[in-house]
Amino acid sequence: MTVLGQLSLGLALLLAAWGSVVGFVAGRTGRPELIRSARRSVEALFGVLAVASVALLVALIRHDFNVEYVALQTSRNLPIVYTIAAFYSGQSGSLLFWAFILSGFAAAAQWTTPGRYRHLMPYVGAVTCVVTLFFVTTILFAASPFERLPFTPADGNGMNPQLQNPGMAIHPPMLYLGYISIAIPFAFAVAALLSRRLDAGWIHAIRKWTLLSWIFLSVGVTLGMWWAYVELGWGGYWAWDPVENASFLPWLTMTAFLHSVMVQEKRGMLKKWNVVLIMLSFLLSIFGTFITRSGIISSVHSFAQSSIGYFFLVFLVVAIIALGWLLWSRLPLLHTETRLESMVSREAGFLFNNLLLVGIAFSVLWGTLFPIISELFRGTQVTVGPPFFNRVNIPIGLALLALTGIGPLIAWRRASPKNLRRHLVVPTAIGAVVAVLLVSGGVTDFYSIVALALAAFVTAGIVQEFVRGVGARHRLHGENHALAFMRLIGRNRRRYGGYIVHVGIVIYFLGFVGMAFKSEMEASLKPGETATLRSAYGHEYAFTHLGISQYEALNRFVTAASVEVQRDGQRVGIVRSEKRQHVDSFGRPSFEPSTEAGIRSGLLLDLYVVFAGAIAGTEEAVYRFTINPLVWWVWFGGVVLVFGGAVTMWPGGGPTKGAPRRRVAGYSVQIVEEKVAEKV
Amino acid sequence: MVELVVGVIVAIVAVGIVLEPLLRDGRGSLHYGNDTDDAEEDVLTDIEESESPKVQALLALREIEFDRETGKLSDEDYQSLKQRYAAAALDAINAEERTTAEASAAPGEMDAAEAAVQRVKSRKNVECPSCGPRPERGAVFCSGCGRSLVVKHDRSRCWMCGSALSEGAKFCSGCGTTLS
Repeated sequence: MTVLGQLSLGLALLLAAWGSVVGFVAGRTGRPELIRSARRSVEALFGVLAVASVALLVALIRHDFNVEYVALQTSRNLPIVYTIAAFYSGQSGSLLFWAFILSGFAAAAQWTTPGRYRHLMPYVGAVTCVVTLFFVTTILFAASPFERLPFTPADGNGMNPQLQNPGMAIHPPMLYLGYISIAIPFAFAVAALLSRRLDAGWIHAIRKWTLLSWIFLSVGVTLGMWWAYVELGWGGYWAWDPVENASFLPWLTMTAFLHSVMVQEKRGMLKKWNVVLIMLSFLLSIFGTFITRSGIISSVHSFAQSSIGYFFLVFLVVAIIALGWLLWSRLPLLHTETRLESMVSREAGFLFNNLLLVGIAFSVLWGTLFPIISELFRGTQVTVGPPFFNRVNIPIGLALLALTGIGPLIAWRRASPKNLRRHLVVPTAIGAVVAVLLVSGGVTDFYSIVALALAAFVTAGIVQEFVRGVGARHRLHGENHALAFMRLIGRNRRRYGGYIVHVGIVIYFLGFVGMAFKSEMEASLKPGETATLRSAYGHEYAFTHLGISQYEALNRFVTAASVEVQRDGQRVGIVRSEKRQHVDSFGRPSFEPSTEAGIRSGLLLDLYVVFAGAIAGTEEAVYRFTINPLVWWVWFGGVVLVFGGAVTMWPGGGPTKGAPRRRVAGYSVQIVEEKVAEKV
Repeated sequence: MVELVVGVIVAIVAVGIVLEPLLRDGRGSLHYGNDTDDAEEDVLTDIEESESPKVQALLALREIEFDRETGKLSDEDYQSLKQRYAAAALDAINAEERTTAEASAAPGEMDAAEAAVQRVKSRKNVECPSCGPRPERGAVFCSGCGRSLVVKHDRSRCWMCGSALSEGAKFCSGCGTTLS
């Protein structure tokens, strides 16, 4: 299928180039036939990249090992799920996947954007075509998945064992979907700048896209944490690795954008800032791929490295210059319509939220790039580790958490400090009670006490918001409390869906706090021997080594070590950790041995057992035992966050129907009536 | 060989699709891109997306009202904000009425605000089919049950949001509702 694949890619190159040029010309001249041709190039681009993707999938499924990519990424004994996932597990395949999804999003944007934004669409098409053009060029000239080998190997190399994990089948696509979908809001922003139509139109047009891409990014980052936790075997889920940081950076700027865009919608402020944020998010998503793909900074994720880093670097530099010029030339059109009325207002809250988010983003970027900067100036790569990131980001993160609690309690436009204080009384009291309970319970870690107290504060604030909102509806509309609750959420989905997302964030923090209380030990145990470890809750866990077993599985030799776990003398169960030696279909070892951690997960803590190896052919095993409190809550926070995001995005009903129009009309009549009363 | 043939077919189809609009020179027989289709898409799906200053000011008022009710706004702030946004809304309503008046080529000698007041005064007290006569003159929606009081064939006001309509309008300028 390589001929079809190559042909489709060549065609995609032409279509993307055509779409880029025609889109810009159509946008400038407004000629209908060019507008239609530009739109069709976007659709056709999606079609031909779909053909190329199908060609690669067919080659993978057919085990066509004459294709270099298939031989490198798969083997005959690789389960079919991973054979399909191999589409995006390697360098060139993942680039094709990226281009294909981008073209799909671009076509979807053309199809779903309402007609009133039609003046933006040729430019949007052009921008998406330019980005696709870059990816297709990189694939064709630096990393084609359709390269053939001069010979046909009997079997392929197989997939990196660390990638053979169910999380791997969904984590990269989710993160990619997040990264790639940023290109659509970015394209609208550039379209608005190019067309000089910088009213709130483009902001409205991208509302759903921004949320969608933020949800994908959040899910992608969380799944990445989960993958690192179950697969890398070091007992944690976040190590401030460059690639983890690269996925976190656009998430931070997108989160900032989600908040500041509301200020522009409601008050016509922060226009320049919003354009800058969306551009930054896009550039950071490209930067993330650059980091992953160039191998410029060593990382646990560097599964694919090659010269394509230069392509990304050139694209980044050109994009920064072009965007900088565009922004500079449109600055006069981006003036603020209103001024900040008071520092005690929701918009001021969003301003601080943005400063903190961008502060974190800057520190993470600095820490990530520090090895390169230090190499540039001092000749050696100096890596800044987790201590740097934690020292800088924990205080900012906690300030952000506090703001998550305060922000929703402040009114838009202007709030009197007295009213704010009244709203803060209950949440602050609850936060203080939690802090006192923790201190009296013997907790000494300062940041943990602050984080948990703030978590209680934020949760109380959100509950209070719901209670007051239901009360207000009950009084204003005479609805019973259940109906008022449903309508409160249903008719203000953005606001109350957003509050649910905040609950998700609080739950994440709960999980993060747990990591401060992890306990771990290493032990070398003969069968029947026991090691004990005390958990943060004061329970004594005893791990008794049962023995080592060896067996052959589908594509690996497994050496498994089992321990029986007891808590304060009560049997909990058996946990098993494995060492896996992956082999190809001829039984030849294909990768370095990998470790599969044994995890027993619970609401309060996870037991995490890693079998580090057996001692010289005996049944004596070296283990690392870790007790991780509250890890489960990190994953659950992700679920709540996605649920909140879905509520925010849910189409139809609510404010889109007649109710607010009716209310608007009601006010309209009321105001005129009042004026009449004044005059008569 | 089969692959090559499929590839060539894909190429011909793709190039054909992209170049067809240029070759047909925009004679308007295409499914998308013509004005009717775009206009149909133009109905607002979310009133908050409306760029009408009137709708925006009225939405702000609605929010101010809700914020006062939940205790976020003090009475003083509420009064001053309400006054400001009510004035903004009235200005916008006046501007809208002025545009409508100009559009229908009516003699616009009277002060626009005065005209708005006159209009309201001249309106009759309407009757809701379920709640009976309403005390608010010129009400567009029943203040008791929320039912629209504008009949669909009344071409002077939008039956959905009550905005004044210019003559021959196919869509409401306030909320985007299709009128035909």
